[in-house]
Amino acid sequence: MTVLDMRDVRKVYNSGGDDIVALDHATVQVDHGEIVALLGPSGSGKTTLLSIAGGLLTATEGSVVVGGHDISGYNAKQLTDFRRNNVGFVFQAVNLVPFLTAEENLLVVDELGGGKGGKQSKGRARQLLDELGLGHRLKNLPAQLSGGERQRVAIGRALFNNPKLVLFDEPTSALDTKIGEQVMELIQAEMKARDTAAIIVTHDTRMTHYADRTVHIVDGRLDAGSVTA
Amino acid sequence: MSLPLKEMRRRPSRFIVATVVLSFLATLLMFLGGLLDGLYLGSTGAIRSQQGDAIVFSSSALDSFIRSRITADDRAAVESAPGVEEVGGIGFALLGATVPAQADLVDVAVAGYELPPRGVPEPPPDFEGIADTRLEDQGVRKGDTLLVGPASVPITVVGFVDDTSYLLQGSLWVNLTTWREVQNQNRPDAAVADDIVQALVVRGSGDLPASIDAATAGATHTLSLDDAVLAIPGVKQQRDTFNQIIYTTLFVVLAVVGLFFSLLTLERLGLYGVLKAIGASTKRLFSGVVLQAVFVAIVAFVIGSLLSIAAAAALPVEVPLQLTPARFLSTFIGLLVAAVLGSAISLRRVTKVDPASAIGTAS
Amino acid sequence: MFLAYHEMRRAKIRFGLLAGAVGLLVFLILFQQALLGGLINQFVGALKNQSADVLVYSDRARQNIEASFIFPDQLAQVQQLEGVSAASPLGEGTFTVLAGGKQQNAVIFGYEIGQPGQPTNVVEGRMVDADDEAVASEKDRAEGFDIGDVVQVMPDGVKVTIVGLARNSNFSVTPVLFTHYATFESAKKTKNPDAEFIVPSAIAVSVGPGHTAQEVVDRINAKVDGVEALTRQQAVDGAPGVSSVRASFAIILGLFYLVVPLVTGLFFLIVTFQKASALTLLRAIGAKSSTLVVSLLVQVVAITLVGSVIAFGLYAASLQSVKNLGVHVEIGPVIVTSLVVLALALLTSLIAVRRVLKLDPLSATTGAGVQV
Repeated sequence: MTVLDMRDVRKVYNSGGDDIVALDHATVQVDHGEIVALLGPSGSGKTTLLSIAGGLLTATEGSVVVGGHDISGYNAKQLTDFRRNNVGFVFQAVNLVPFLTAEENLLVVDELGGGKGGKQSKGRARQLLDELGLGHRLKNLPAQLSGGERQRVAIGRALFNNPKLVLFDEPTSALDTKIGEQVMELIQAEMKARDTAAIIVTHDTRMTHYADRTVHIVDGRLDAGSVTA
Repeated sequence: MSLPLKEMRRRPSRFIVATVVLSFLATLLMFLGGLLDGLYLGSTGAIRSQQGDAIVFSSSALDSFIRSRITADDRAAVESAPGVEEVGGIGFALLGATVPAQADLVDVAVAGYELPPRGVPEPPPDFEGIADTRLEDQGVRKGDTLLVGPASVPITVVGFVDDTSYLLQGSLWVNLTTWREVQNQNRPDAAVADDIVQALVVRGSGDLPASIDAATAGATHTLSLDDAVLAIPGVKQQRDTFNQIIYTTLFVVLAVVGLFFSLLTLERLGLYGVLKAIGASTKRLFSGVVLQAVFVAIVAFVIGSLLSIAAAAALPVEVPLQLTPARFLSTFIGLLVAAVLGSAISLRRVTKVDPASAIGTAS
Repeated sequence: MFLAYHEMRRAKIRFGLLAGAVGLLVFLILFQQALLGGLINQFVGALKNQSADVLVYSDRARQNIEASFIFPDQLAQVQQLEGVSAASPLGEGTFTVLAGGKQQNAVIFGYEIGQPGQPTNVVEGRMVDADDEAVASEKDRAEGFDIGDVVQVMPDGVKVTIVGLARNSNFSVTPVLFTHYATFESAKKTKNPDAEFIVPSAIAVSVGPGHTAQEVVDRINAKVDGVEALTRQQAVDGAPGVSSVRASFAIILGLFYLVVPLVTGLFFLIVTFQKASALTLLRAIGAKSSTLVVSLLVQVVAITLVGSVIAFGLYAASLQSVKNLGVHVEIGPVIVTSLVVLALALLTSLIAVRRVLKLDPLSATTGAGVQV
C-alpha cells in the first residue's frame, strides 16, 4: 500500500523577479516498508522534494498524499500538527536539543504534542533506545555521545510517534564510512521491522545499496526509479 | 519539567547574569517605590488618620494648616451648615523637642485636636500627649516629658499611636489648650487667641465642601479628606516625579529582558528550526521564551525584595523608606509585565524561523 | 572600524535595544541628578545663594530656620564678637500673597539693606533698595513674580514690586521674595495681628578678613547662649529634608551606575561568545587580535555615545515636565555622566576583550563548528 503519493508536483521559487523551478512535475510513490534513496547533486531539488513530502513546504502545483492525508491544501498550523503525528525526521547535524539527555530528546516529541511525558512514554523511549543499542546512554547529554550515537538518538526520536513515513536528510554525512554503514544498517533494520516507509537523501553512492530503490534527481526532474536491493 | 525550565537548570550561566541585572533593577524599583511610600505615608499620616469627611481651612490659607485660622464665628457657621454632624478643631505646630537623657532634639508635630483620629483616645488632660510611634523609634518612651520648642513647654507622653506623622515629623496629639500654649509660647509672632483653631475636621454627609463654603460665605475653603491629603505641600509633586522614574525604570527592565532574550533566541535559531520541523508550533516555542522571562523576573523580584529589605534595615532612620505589601505587589506586577513585553521582542524572530530550514543545512 | 560598523548595521535590533537601554539608564541618572540638585535648590536654594557666611539660629530650632527666632540681646552679643564684620537680623516666614491675580504661598526673606543676607544669584534686574521692593526667585516669574509685578501680602497687607530675579533661590519648595527687613516685619504683622512683637528668625553674619567662617561659628557657639551658629554650607546640609534626600539619592544613583556597566558588559560578552567561531575564522585568515579588540571597543564607544544622545534628548524633554523644579538643562553634567558611564562600560567589556584575545586561530581548522 502506498504511504507517500506525490503526483505532478511543481515547486517554483520567486527570486528577484525570476521564477526558479526547483521541482518539475515530480511523481513518486513510496510503499509501506519501502526505503527509497534520493540521489542527486546539490541544487538538484532533492531538499525541496523531501521538504514537500514531509510537509515542511507546500507545493506550487500537484497533489501530495501521506498516509491517506492529502496535505496539498493544508495551512501552516495543520502542517505542524501533521508533521508531529505522521512524519519522522532525521537531519544532518543540528538535530538534538543540546541540554536534554538522550531519553529526554525522545520525550520532546511527546511534550511538543502537549503530552506530559508520563510513564508510558518513558517506557517507550527506553525501549526504543534499547533497540538502538543506547540502553546504557539514556541519561547522557548529546555532547557526551559520539556522532554515530547522536544519529541513533535522532532515529529514535523520528520513530517515537510511530510515523508512517520517515525522512532522512543525509544522515551519514557527518560520520565516517564505517559508522555511516552501521547507521544505515540500523535504519534498514528498523524500517523493515516496523514496515515504515522511508526516503533517504544522500549524495553518497556507497549508501544506496541499503535502499530498495534509488531515485535520481537532476535539475528538479526525477528519473524512473530502479530497484537496487 | 518542561523544556524551557530544563534549559535554565542545565545551562544556567546566561540566565544568572540576566537575573543579576534584573535583581538590581528590581531593588531599584522597590527602593524608589519604598521612598515614595515613605514620603507619602510619613507626610500624610496625621490627615489620613482623621475620622472625618472633610477638612475646613480659612480661604486665605491655600489649604495649609500652618497658615489657616478659623475663628469662633466661622466655626459657628460651619456647624450650622446643612449635612454637618460633628465638628472638631485641629491645629499643628512643627517644633523641636528635648527628650529626657538624650542630647539630640527630635522633630515633633504638636497636634491639637477635639475629634480623635484613628487609634487616638479622647483628648488627654493639659500637657499630656499621645505620641506617634515615629517618636518612639527616635527614643521617646511612655512617661517621658518632652520639652517642646525654644520655650520648653513640657508635655508628658501617655501613650502611642501608629501612622499619624505629619510632614515626616512624629505627631504629639494634645488637647487644643496645650496646642495653643505650645504655639503662643514658642511663636509669639504667630500667637493664636483662645477661640481660634487652624482648621476644622467635619463629619457629615452630602456635598460638605459646597454646603460649608456656602454657609461661611466664602470665608472658608473646604476639602474632602482625600483632597486635603493631596494638598499637603510636596505630596503630589513627589508622587508624579517618583512615578515617572519608576515607569522609566520599568522600561529599562523591558529593554534588558528584550535584549537578553533576543540574544538567546539568536543562538537557538537552528534548534528552533529542528523543533518546528518535528512539529513544534511557534506558539509553543514562544511561550517557552515568555516562561523563561517570567521565571527570571520572579527570581529577580525575590532577590530585589530581600536586598531592599536589607537596605531598609541598614539605612539611617532619617531616610523615609517604607516597604508596604502593596508596593511589593505592584513591583511584582510591573516586573512581570515588563518581562513579558520584553520577551515579546523575540516573537518576530521565532515566528520567522522556517521549519524547512532544518533540512539541507549542515551546521 | 569596518567590522564594527557592519556588524552593528546587520544587527540593528540588538544594538538598538542596547543603545536604548543604556540611553534610558543614562537618562535616569541625569534626571535624578538634576532632580537632586533641583530639590536641594527648591528646599534651601535661598539659603545657599545668599551672602551671609554664617547663620545663627536658636539652638532649639534643629537647624530649621522656620522654627528659629532670635532675641535682641543675642544679636547684640554676636555683633560684639571678634571676626564678625557685620551681623544683622534675618527674617524668614511663609505668607499667603496675592501674585499674578491669585493667592499663593511665598517665603519672605527680610534682610537689612547693605548687610549680609542679600541674594547672590540675581540674574536679571537689580537689588532691593526700598521697603516696597523685592527680588523674587526666578523660577516663579511666570506665576506673577516677574520684574515689574506687584505682590501683596494677604490679607490686605504690604505691597512690593519685583525689581530683580534670583536663580536657584527657592525655599521649602515655595517662591521666595528677598525684601528689606522692615517689609518682613510688616508682613508678619499683617499675617498675625495677635502678635505681640516681631523677632528675627536668624542672624546673618559676615566674616571679617583674616578669619574663617568655621572659626566664627565656633566662637559664637562658645560665647552666646541659646543659639546655634552654622556656616552657610552647614545650614544648607542641615536643613530639614536635605540630608535624607541626599542619602536616598546616593543609593539610587549608585545602583543605576552599577546597572549600566553590567548591562553593557553582559551584552558584549554574550555577543563575543556567539561570534567566537566567526572571530576565530577572522584570526585564521590573518586578522590581528588588536583589530578585533579595537572593533569591539569601537562598538562599546558607539553604543555609549548613541545612548548618551538618547539620554540627552529624554533629559531635555523630561525637564519640561518637572519645570516647577526650576531645573535648567546643563551640558556639563551630561558630558561628565556620559564619560563615567563610558569608562564603566569599557571596564566591563574587558571581560569580552579577554575572551577575544584567548581565541586560537588554529581551532578554526579543526572544524569545531558552531555551538548550539
